[in-house]
Amino acid sequence: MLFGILIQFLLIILIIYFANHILKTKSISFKDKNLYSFLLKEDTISEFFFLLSLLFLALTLLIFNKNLGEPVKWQSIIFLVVLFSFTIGYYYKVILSLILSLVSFIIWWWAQSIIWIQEEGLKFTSFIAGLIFICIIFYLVGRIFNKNIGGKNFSWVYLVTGTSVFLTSLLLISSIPGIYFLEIGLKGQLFLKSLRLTFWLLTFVLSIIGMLIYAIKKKILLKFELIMIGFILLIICSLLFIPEGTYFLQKQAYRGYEVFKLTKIGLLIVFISYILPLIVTISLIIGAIFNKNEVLEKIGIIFLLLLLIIRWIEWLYYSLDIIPLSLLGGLLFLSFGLIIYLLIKILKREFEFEIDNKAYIFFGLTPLVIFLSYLSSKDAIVAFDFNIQNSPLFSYFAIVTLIYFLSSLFISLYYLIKNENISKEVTFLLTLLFVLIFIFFAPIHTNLVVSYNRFTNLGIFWLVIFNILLILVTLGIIILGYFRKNELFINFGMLITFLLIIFKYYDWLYGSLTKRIFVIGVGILFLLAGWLMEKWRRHMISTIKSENLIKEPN
Amino acid sequence: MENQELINYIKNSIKQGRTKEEIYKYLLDQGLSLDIIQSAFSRAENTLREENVSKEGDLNRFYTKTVRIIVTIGAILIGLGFFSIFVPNWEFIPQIAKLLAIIGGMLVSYTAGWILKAKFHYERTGEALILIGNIIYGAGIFLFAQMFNIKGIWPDGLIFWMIGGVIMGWILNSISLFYFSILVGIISIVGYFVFIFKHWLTVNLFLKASSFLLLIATIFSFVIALLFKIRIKAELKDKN
Repeated sequence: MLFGILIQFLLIILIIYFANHILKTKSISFKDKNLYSFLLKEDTISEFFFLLSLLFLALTLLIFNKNLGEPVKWQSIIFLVVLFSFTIGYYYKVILSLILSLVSFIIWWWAQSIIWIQEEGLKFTSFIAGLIFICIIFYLVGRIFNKNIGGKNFSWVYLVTGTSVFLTSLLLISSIPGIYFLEIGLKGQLFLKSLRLTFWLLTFVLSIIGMLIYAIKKKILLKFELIMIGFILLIICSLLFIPEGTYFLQKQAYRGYEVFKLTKIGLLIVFISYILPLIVTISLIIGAIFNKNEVLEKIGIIFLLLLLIIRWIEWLYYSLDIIPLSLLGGLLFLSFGLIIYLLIKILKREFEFEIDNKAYIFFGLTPLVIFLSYLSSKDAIVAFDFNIQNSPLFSYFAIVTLIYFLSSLFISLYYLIKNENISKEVTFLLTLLFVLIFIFFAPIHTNLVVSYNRFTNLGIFWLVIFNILLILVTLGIIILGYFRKNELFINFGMLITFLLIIFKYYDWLYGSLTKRIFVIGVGILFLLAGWLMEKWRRHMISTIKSENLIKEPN
Repeated sequence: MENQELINYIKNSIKQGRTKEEIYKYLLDQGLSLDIIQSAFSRAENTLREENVSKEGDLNRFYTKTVRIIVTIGAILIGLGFFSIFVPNWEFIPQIAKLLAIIGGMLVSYTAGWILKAKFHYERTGEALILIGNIIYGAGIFLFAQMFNIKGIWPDGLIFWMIGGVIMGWILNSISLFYFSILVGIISIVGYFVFIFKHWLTVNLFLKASSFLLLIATIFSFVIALLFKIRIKAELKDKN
């Protein structure tokens, strides 16, 4: 359990470190006159008072309307506020007002479309489709305005709003409860039964097509942006027209209660819904780095972190009763987070070997060693006695593992192609991760335990395998450090070896010897191990130094 | 001012801990155009970053910010202290004494704040005292309403507080009061939304009175926003 807590703690530290390092605000250069004036205190005050006046207006209209017996629907009042905010935003160049108009428009769509859907008994996916269409419109407007100097100041408002709402929706849908919610959303009539809903959805689609044509003509969008938008539109349009039925989830009895199992189509949807947010956020980050758009880059990073947190919590929730499996998930997400962090540093040309090496050790090697140390203990073998292939959530675990491992692999290929300094280290990490994933998913590992502290031959086999893996990893770190001329790795490897000896001594001999002899044994072990390791470490480092092989890595 | 002289001036100002707004204002007063100032500023910042000298300026700015935070916290604590002394014992204090305490406290704070700010140039301490005066004013609204049994919901009082704060801020040229009034305004809006959701299904007579006050708040906020915009435009026009 301690190891589990340690790995999860490391994941939290990674998230905080990642967020703090990447999201540090840099000094703003006052290139844009409007941006400068916004930052002036007086303009800030003016912005906020415009915002307050619009919010007070909304309240005034709502209360007047209520007191007069609601002659106008409150959704229409929100739409009126949208128009007012939009007008003030553009006429007086008030950014907060524009943000309010965009947010209010989304709220209006949510409130109004739900009413129409409930009145006619339509599919709930019509609301989701409209929301995604609005997000795409905002994104396209932002990209188009970005090229127009006059509208540059407001383009980021559209981009931020559009991408934030889209990514939030994607995060919510791409989970098992989200899939269940989507399944329910497919029940009902087609949106064509409601003229008003059809009108608005058609308006959105035509706007998107019009803007795409304009953007293609003016060469505003990158190719992969066009592909992503096209792909999203295809999925959304198919969601609108799918007839009612059970597609994604089926009920199944498991251990005396009913659970939901994914159908084949459900598996495909889960795969798409899990991989899509990943592709979108990573594409957003990479695109923002190449376009030197810091705002979008930070949004992408925030959502990627949120995605990792949601996936981690979800994995923990579904694997709570199988500790090794829950730890594997933590290791998987930690490794993926580390690889993305290194990718961003490399793309931004901010990679510093000495600093990022430490990140690799702390977030890559340390959790791996901790995990293997746990697996090589007797308690872990007891917990390892499970067959994941019989679990109704096997497909969920398999899909998530496949997606995140393959994504990490794909990104690490980039390091190899670009011959980046960290490529060997990342390969080492991913190889071990692959071995662990294979062990967990492929062979069956049940009937490992006879009774407390007594294992079957298969149990002993896995115990030996994990211990060998642990030794190989420790030696591998030291050897990697030696051949990469990296003192830090050597020192780390030595430290791990030392701790391992102590830990194994305790694990295997505590209880077998009397306490006094045990303690004396620990003392002798400390002395011997410390002396041997220091001798070996100094020899390796001096060999490296004397051959003048320690250079700053390129 | 020649380009290199301008860059040097900006670098020295940053080292001395002056804020960007202060430097911009001074240079605009010298008759320089915004484009020249912006370009010189980014070059100066780049140079400083390389020289790693901006740490001193950061330290000075840090101290300045710290002082501002400390005096603001001091003002808030004094305001809260006033609340905690008077409110529990409110019913035992005679009405005239209550009125004098509130009005007197308010006037003393505003006057002392204005004197310290305008005459002795203790800007931060002066602003803090003005803020205390505003907090006493706000507390006075609710206490007066309680004394004279004025019917209304609590966000109504916040609107009066906001309006009073803005007027005093305009007279005394206190940015802190504007920020505080914005905060009070936001809280009142949140309060109204909560109130609306709670009472949506019932007809509430108090809502009729609030809607008129909300209309006043709408117009008032809009006018203040416009006045600030006009003021900024006039300043930029004068400088250019």
